[in-house]
Amino acid sequence: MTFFKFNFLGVASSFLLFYTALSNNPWWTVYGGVGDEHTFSAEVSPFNISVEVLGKPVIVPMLFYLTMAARLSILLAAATTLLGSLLANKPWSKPLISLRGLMLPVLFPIGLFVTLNLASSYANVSIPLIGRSTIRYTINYGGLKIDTETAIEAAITQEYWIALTAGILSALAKAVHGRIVGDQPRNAD
Amino acid sequence: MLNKTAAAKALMLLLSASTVLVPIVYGLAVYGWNIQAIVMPLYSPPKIDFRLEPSGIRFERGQLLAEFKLTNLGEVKVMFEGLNAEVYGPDGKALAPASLDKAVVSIPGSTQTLTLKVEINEATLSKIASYLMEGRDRINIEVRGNATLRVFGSKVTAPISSSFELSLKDILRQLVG
Repeated sequence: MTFFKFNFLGVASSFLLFYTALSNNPWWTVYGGVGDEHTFSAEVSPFNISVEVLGKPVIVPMLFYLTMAARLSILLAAATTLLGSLLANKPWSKPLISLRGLMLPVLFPIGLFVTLNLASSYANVSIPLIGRSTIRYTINYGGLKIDTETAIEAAITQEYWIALTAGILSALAKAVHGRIVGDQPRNAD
Repeated sequence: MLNKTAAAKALMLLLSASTVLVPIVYGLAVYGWNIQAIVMPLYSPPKIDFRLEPSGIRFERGQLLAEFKLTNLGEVKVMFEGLNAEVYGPDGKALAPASLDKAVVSIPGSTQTLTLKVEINEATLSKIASYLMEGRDRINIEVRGNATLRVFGSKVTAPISSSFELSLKDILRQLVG
Protein backbone atom coordinates (compact mmCIF):
# COMPACT_ATOMS: atom_id res chain seq x y z
CA MET A 1 0.00 0.00 0.00
CA THR A 2 1.49 3.37 -1.02
CA PHE A 3 0.88 6.45 1.11
CA PHE A 4 0.97 9.94 -0.31
CA LYS A 5 3.94 11.69 1.29
CA PHE A 6 4.75 15.34 0.99
CA ASN A 7 7.36 17.69 2.36
CA PHE A 8 5.41 20.30 4.32
CA LEU A 9 8.42 22.61 4.74
CA GLY A 10 9.07 22.47 1.01
CA VAL A 11 5.46 23.33 0.18
CA ALA A 12 5.56 26.27 2.63
CA SER A 13 8.87 27.53 1.24
CA SER A 14 7.67 27.23 -2.35
CA PHE A 15 4.57 29.35 -1.63
CA LEU A 16 6.75 31.97 0.03
CA LEU A 17 9.15 31.82 -2.92
CA PHE A 18 6.25 32.32 -5.36
CA TYR A 19 5.12 35.33 -3.33
CA THR A 20 8.68 36.73 -3.19
CA ALA A 21 9.33 36.32 -6.91
CA LEU A 22 5.98 37.79 -7.97
CA SER A 23 6.18 40.74 -5.60
CA ASN A 24 7.54 44.06 -6.84
CA ASN A 25 8.11 45.36 -3.32
CA PRO A 26 11.70 46.34 -2.54
CA TRP A 27 13.99 44.44 -0.18
CA TRP A 28 16.07 47.49 0.58
CA THR A 29 15.23 51.17 0.33
CA VAL A 30 17.23 54.35 0.64
CA TYR A 31 15.73 57.81 0.58
CA GLY A 32 17.73 61.04 0.47
CA GLY A 33 16.05 64.24 1.62
CA VAL A 34 13.50 65.21 4.22
CA GLY A 35 9.75 65.47 3.80
CA ASP A 36 7.76 64.14 0.88
CA GLU A 37 10.34 65.10 -1.72
CA HIS A 38 13.46 63.05 -2.23
CA THR A 39 16.76 64.23 -3.65
CA PHE A 40 17.30 60.63 -4.59
CA SER A 41 15.69 57.32 -3.86
CA ALA A 42 16.50 53.71 -4.54
CA GLU A 43 14.15 50.80 -4.09
CA VAL A 44 16.03 47.61 -4.67
CA SER A 45 15.20 43.94 -4.82
CA PRO A 46 16.72 41.23 -7.02
CA PHE A 47 13.53 41.44 -9.11
CA ASN A 48 13.08 45.17 -9.44
CA ILE A 49 15.46 48.11 -9.15
CA SER A 50 14.12 51.63 -9.20
CA VAL A 51 16.42 54.64 -8.81
CA GLU A 52 15.38 58.29 -8.99
CA VAL A 53 17.56 61.39 -8.74
CA LEU A 54 15.93 64.82 -8.46
CA GLY A 55 12.58 63.25 -9.34
CA LYS A 56 13.81 61.73 -12.60
CA PRO A 57 14.46 58.02 -13.11
CA VAL A 58 17.92 56.60 -13.70
CA ILE A 59 17.63 53.66 -16.10
CA VAL A 60 20.26 51.02 -16.73
CA PRO A 61 18.78 48.77 -19.46
CA MET A 62 20.82 45.74 -18.34
CA LEU A 63 19.18 45.80 -14.90
CA PHE A 64 15.81 44.98 -16.46
CA TYR A 65 17.19 41.75 -17.94
CA LEU A 66 19.20 40.84 -14.82
CA THR A 67 16.15 41.27 -12.58
CA MET A 68 14.09 39.28 -15.06
CA ALA A 69 16.69 36.48 -14.84
CA ALA A 70 16.53 36.57 -11.03
CA ARG A 71 12.72 36.48 -11.09
CA LEU A 72 12.60 33.55 -13.51
CA SER A 73 15.24 31.76 -11.51
CA ILE A 74 13.25 32.03 -8.27
CA LEU A 75 9.99 31.14 -10.01
CA LEU A 76 11.69 28.00 -11.32
CA ALA A 77 13.06 27.24 -7.83
CA ALA A 78 9.57 27.70 -6.35
CA ALA A 79 7.96 25.47 -9.00
CA THR A 80 10.51 22.66 -8.71
CA THR A 81 10.52 22.86 -4.89
CA LEU A 82 6.72 22.54 -4.90
CA LEU A 83 6.89 19.60 -7.30
CA GLY A 84 9.65 17.89 -5.32
CA SER A 85 7.79 18.47 -2.05
CA LEU A 86 4.49 17.09 -3.36
CA LEU A 87 6.20 14.06 -4.89
CA ALA A 88 8.32 13.44 -1.80
CA ASN A 89 7.94 9.65 -2.12
CA LYS A 90 9.81 9.70 -5.42
CA PRO A 91 13.53 9.14 -4.91
CA TRP A 92 14.40 11.70 -7.60
CA SER A 93 12.43 14.44 -5.85
CA LYS A 94 15.28 15.73 -3.64
CA PRO A 95 17.25 17.47 -6.45
CA LEU A 96 14.07 19.37 -7.30
CA ILE A 97 14.16 21.15 -3.94
CA SER A 98 16.24 24.16 -4.82
CA LEU A 99 18.53 26.16 -2.55
CA ARG A 100 18.43 29.12 -4.93
CA GLY A 101 15.78 30.68 -2.71
CA LEU A 102 18.35 30.83 0.10
CA MET A 103 21.27 31.95 -2.05
CA LEU A 104 19.56 35.15 -3.19
CA PRO A 105 18.74 36.60 0.27
CA VAL A 106 22.23 35.62 1.48
CA LEU A 107 24.02 37.20 -1.48
CA PHE A 108 21.74 40.27 -1.57
CA PRO A 109 23.15 42.14 1.49
CA ILE A 110 26.70 41.15 0.48
CA GLY A 111 26.12 42.60 -2.99
CA LEU A 112 24.62 45.75 -1.51
CA PHE A 113 27.52 46.15 0.89
CA VAL A 114 30.06 45.83 -1.94
CA THR A 115 28.08 48.22 -4.20
CA LEU A 116 27.76 50.85 -1.45
CA ASN A 117 31.48 50.59 -0.69
CA LEU A 118 32.29 51.03 -4.37
CA ALA A 119 29.99 54.07 -4.49
CA SER A 120 31.78 55.42 -1.43
CA SER A 121 35.19 54.98 -3.06
CA TYR A 122 34.34 56.32 -6.51
CA ALA A 123 31.77 59.03 -5.78
CA ASN A 124 32.89 59.83 -2.23
CA VAL A 125 29.30 59.34 -1.07
CA SER A 126 28.77 57.20 1.99
CA ILE A 127 25.34 55.54 2.11
CA PRO A 128 24.61 53.22 5.04
CA LEU A 129 23.15 49.76 4.55
CA ILE A 130 20.75 50.38 7.42
CA GLY A 131 20.09 53.55 9.41
CA ARG A 132 20.33 57.28 9.01
CA SER A 133 23.17 59.58 8.06
CA THR A 134 23.84 62.87 6.34
CA ILE A 135 25.69 63.25 3.06
CA ARG A 136 27.64 66.45 2.60
CA TYR A 137 28.67 66.93 -0.98
CA THR A 138 30.26 69.79 -2.85
CA ILE A 139 29.45 70.32 -6.51
CA ASN A 140 31.59 72.55 -8.69
CA TYR A 141 29.20 74.13 -11.15
CA GLY A 142 30.37 76.80 -13.57
CA GLY A 143 33.19 77.82 -11.25
CA LEU A 144 30.84 78.04 -8.27
CA LYS A 145 31.14 75.82 -5.22
CA ILE A 146 27.70 74.53 -4.23
CA ASP A 147 27.45 72.71 -0.92
CA THR A 148 24.66 70.22 -0.41
CA GLU A 149 23.52 68.48 2.72
CA THR A 150 21.14 65.55 2.39
CA ALA A 151 19.67 63.48 5.19
CA ILE A 152 19.44 59.84 4.17
CA GLU A 153 17.62 56.87 5.59
CA ALA A 154 18.23 53.29 4.52
CA ALA A 155 16.32 50.22 5.60
CA ILE A 156 15.92 46.54 4.88
CA THR A 157 12.23 45.87 4.40
CA GLN A 158 9.89 43.17 5.64
CA GLU A 159 9.97 41.73 2.11
CA TYR A 160 13.61 40.79 2.55
CA TRP A 161 12.87 38.91 5.77
CA ILE A 162 10.05 37.03 4.02
CA ALA A 163 12.50 36.05 1.25
CA LEU A 164 15.09 34.96 3.83
CA THR A 165 12.44 32.90 5.66
CA ALA A 166 11.50 31.25 2.34
CA GLY A 167 15.17 30.48 1.71
CA ILE A 168 15.74 29.02 5.19
CA LEU A 169 12.58 26.92 4.87
CA SER A 170 13.78 25.56 1.51
CA ALA A 171 17.15 24.63 3.06
CA LEU A 172 15.37 22.89 5.96
CA ALA A 173 13.04 21.19 3.49
CA LYS A 174 16.03 19.79 1.59
CA ALA A 175 17.68 18.69 4.86
CA VAL A 176 14.64 16.77 6.11
CA HIS A 177 13.61 15.44 2.69
CA GLY A 178 15.54 12.19 3.12
CA ARG A 179 13.64 11.33 6.30
CA ILE A 180 10.30 11.98 4.60
CA VAL A 181 11.21 9.74 1.68
CA GLY A 182 12.20 7.05 4.17
CA ASP A 183 14.55 4.15 3.71
CA GLN A 184 13.97 3.40 0.09
CA PRO A 185 16.56 1.46 -1.82
CA ARG A 186 18.71 3.61 -4.14
CA ASN A 187 17.93 1.40 -7.12
CA ALA A 188 14.23 2.17 -6.84
CA ASP A 189 14.93 5.07 -9.23
CA MET B 1 19.70 3.16 -18.10
CA LEU B 2 19.96 6.74 -17.01
CA ASN B 3 19.56 7.17 -13.28
CA LYS B 4 16.39 9.25 -12.64
CA THR B 5 18.00 11.23 -9.80
CA ALA B 6 20.94 12.14 -12.03
CA ALA B 7 18.49 13.08 -14.78
CA ALA B 8 16.55 15.28 -12.37
CA LYS B 9 19.81 16.96 -11.30
CA ALA B 10 20.86 17.52 -14.91
CA LEU B 11 17.44 18.91 -15.81
CA MET B 12 17.56 21.30 -12.83
CA LEU B 13 21.01 22.49 -13.85
CA LEU B 14 19.92 23.04 -17.43
CA LEU B 15 16.74 24.90 -16.46
CA SER B 16 18.59 27.01 -13.86
CA ALA B 17 21.27 28.02 -16.35
CA SER B 18 18.60 28.80 -18.97
CA THR B 19 16.57 31.06 -16.67
CA VAL B 20 19.70 33.10 -15.98
CA LEU B 21 21.26 33.13 -19.41
CA VAL B 22 18.22 33.46 -21.71
CA PRO B 23 17.08 36.92 -20.43
CA ILE B 24 20.65 38.25 -20.52
CA VAL B 25 21.29 36.96 -24.03
CA TYR B 26 17.87 38.27 -25.11
CA GLY B 27 18.69 41.69 -23.64
CA LEU B 28 22.03 41.80 -25.43
CA ALA B 29 20.31 40.82 -28.69
CA VAL B 30 17.69 43.57 -28.25
CA TYR B 31 20.53 46.10 -27.88
CA GLY B 32 22.37 44.69 -30.89
CA TRP B 33 25.15 43.19 -28.72
CA ASN B 34 26.23 46.70 -27.83
CA ILE B 35 27.42 46.18 -24.25
CA GLN B 36 28.06 49.88 -23.71
CA ALA B 37 24.45 50.74 -24.65
CA ILE B 38 22.99 48.15 -22.29
CA VAL B 39 25.09 49.00 -19.24
CA MET B 40 25.23 52.80 -19.64
CA PRO B 41 22.83 54.60 -17.24
CA LEU B 42 20.22 56.78 -18.93
CA TYR B 43 19.36 59.97 -17.06
CA SER B 44 18.13 63.40 -18.00
CA PRO B 45 18.32 65.82 -15.06
CA PRO B 46 15.48 68.28 -14.51
CA LYS B 47 15.99 71.81 -15.80
CA ILE B 48 16.85 74.33 -13.08
CA ASP B 49 16.55 77.94 -14.22
CA PHE B 50 15.51 81.20 -12.53
CA ARG B 51 15.08 84.78 -13.63
CA LEU B 52 15.54 87.52 -11.03
CA GLU B 53 14.42 91.06 -11.82
CA PRO B 54 14.44 94.06 -9.47
CA SER B 55 10.90 95.34 -8.96
CA GLY B 56 11.15 98.11 -6.39
CA ILE B 57 12.44 99.31 -3.06
CA ARG B 58 10.79 100.50 0.13
CA PHE B 59 11.94 101.52 3.56
CA GLU B 60 10.49 100.03 6.73
CA ARG B 61 11.63 100.29 10.38
CA GLY B 62 15.20 101.25 9.54
CA GLN B 63 15.53 98.63 6.85
CA LEU B 64 15.68 98.94 3.13
CA LEU B 65 13.54 96.28 1.47
CA ALA B 66 14.58 95.55 -2.09
CA GLU B 67 11.98 93.54 -3.95
CA PHE B 68 12.66 91.18 -6.81
CA LYS B 69 10.43 89.23 -9.12
CA LEU B 70 11.64 85.65 -9.06
CA THR B 71 10.46 83.53 -11.99
CA ASN B 72 11.01 79.81 -11.93
CA LEU B 73 11.73 78.80 -15.52
CA GLY B 74 12.82 75.27 -14.61
CA GLU B 75 11.13 72.05 -13.56
CA VAL B 76 12.14 71.98 -9.91
CA LYS B 77 10.36 73.42 -6.88
CA VAL B 78 12.86 75.38 -4.80
CA MET B 79 12.43 76.96 -1.40
CA PHE B 80 14.64 79.97 -0.74
CA GLU B 81 15.17 79.69 3.00
CA GLY B 82 17.79 82.28 3.74
CA LEU B 83 20.48 84.59 2.52
CA ASN B 84 23.69 85.66 4.15
CA ALA B 85 24.99 88.43 1.96
CA GLU B 86 26.60 91.83 1.79
CA VAL B 87 25.64 94.77 -0.41
CA TYR B 88 28.55 96.41 -2.20
CA GLY B 89 28.59 99.92 -3.60
CA PRO B 90 29.95 101.02 -7.00
CA ASP B 91 33.39 101.49 -5.45
CA GLY B 92 33.42 97.86 -4.33
CA LYS B 93 33.11 98.73 -0.66
CA ALA B 94 30.65 96.93 1.59
CA LEU B 95 27.57 99.06 2.25
CA ALA B 96 25.37 96.92 4.46
CA PRO B 97 24.51 93.34 5.33
CA ALA B 98 21.56 91.79 3.51
CA SER B 99 19.29 88.90 4.29
CA LEU B 100 16.06 87.38 3.05
CA ASP B 101 12.92 88.93 4.56
CA LYS B 102 11.01 85.64 4.50
CA ALA B 103 11.29 82.22 2.92
CA VAL B 104 9.94 81.96 -0.61
CA VAL B 105 8.68 78.81 -2.28
CA SER B 106 9.22 78.95 -6.02
CA ILE B 107 7.06 76.52 -8.00
CA PRO B 108 7.93 75.77 -11.67
CA GLY B 109 6.29 78.25 -14.01
CA SER B 110 5.40 80.73 -11.25
CA THR B 111 6.63 84.21 -10.32
CA GLN B 112 7.10 85.15 -6.68
CA THR B 113 8.25 88.26 -4.89
CA LEU B 114 11.56 87.80 -3.16
CA THR B 115 12.34 90.54 -0.67
CA LEU B 116 15.89 91.37 0.31
CA LYS B 117 16.28 93.07 3.68
CA VAL B 118 19.20 95.50 3.87
CA GLU B 119 20.14 96.81 7.32
CA ILE B 120 20.61 100.57 7.04
CA ASN B 121 22.85 102.13 9.65
CA GLU B 122 24.59 105.50 9.93
CA ALA B 123 27.63 104.33 8.03
CA THR B 124 25.40 103.19 5.16
CA LEU B 125 23.56 106.52 5.14
CA SER B 126 26.78 108.51 5.07
CA LYS B 127 28.04 106.35 2.23
CA ILE B 128 24.83 106.96 0.26
CA ALA B 129 25.18 110.67 1.00
CA SER B 130 28.76 110.62 -0.27
CA TYR B 131 27.60 109.13 -3.57
CA LEU B 132 25.06 111.95 -3.87
CA MET B 133 27.75 114.49 -3.11
CA GLU B 134 29.81 113.02 -5.94
CA GLY B 135 26.92 114.00 -8.18
CA ARG B 136 25.66 110.52 -8.82
CA ASP B 137 21.98 110.05 -9.40
CA ARG B 138 21.96 106.28 -9.75
CA ILE B 139 24.39 103.72 -8.41
CA ASN B 140 25.11 100.19 -9.37
CA ILE B 141 25.10 97.92 -6.34
CA GLU B 142 26.01 94.29 -6.04
CA VAL B 143 24.67 91.70 -3.61
CA ARG B 144 27.17 88.92 -2.92
CA GLY B 145 26.80 86.10 -0.46
CA ASN B 146 25.44 82.64 0.13
CA ALA B 147 21.85 81.60 -0.40
CA THR B 148 20.37 78.68 1.49
CA LEU B 149 17.87 76.70 -0.54
CA ARG B 150 15.80 73.59 -0.01
CA VAL B 151 15.65 71.45 -3.14
CA PHE B 152 14.00 68.01 -3.12
CA GLY B 153 14.45 67.78 0.64
CA SER B 154 18.17 68.66 0.54
CA LYS B 155 19.74 71.76 1.99
CA VAL B 156 21.81 73.56 -0.63
CA THR B 157 24.14 76.45 0.02
CA ALA B 158 25.12 78.26 -3.14
CA PRO B 159 27.05 81.46 -3.73
CA ILE B 160 24.97 84.17 -5.36
CA SER B 161 25.86 87.44 -6.97
CA SER B 162 23.40 89.91 -8.40
CA SER B 163 23.93 93.46 -9.61
CA PHE B 164 21.28 96.05 -10.08
CA GLU B 165 20.93 99.80 -10.40
CA LEU B 166 19.30 101.95 -7.73
CA SER B 167 18.15 105.52 -7.83
CA LEU B 168 19.70 107.40 -4.92
CA LYS B 169 16.80 109.86 -4.98
CA ASP B 170 14.36 106.96 -4.55
CA ILE B 171 16.32 105.70 -1.56
CA LEU B 172 16.39 109.17 0.02
CA ARG B 173 12.70 109.66 -0.69
CA GLN B 174 11.97 106.36 1.08
CA LEU B 175 14.26 107.27 3.98
CA VAL B 176 12.72 110.72 4.45
CA GLY B 177 9.28 109.17 4.23
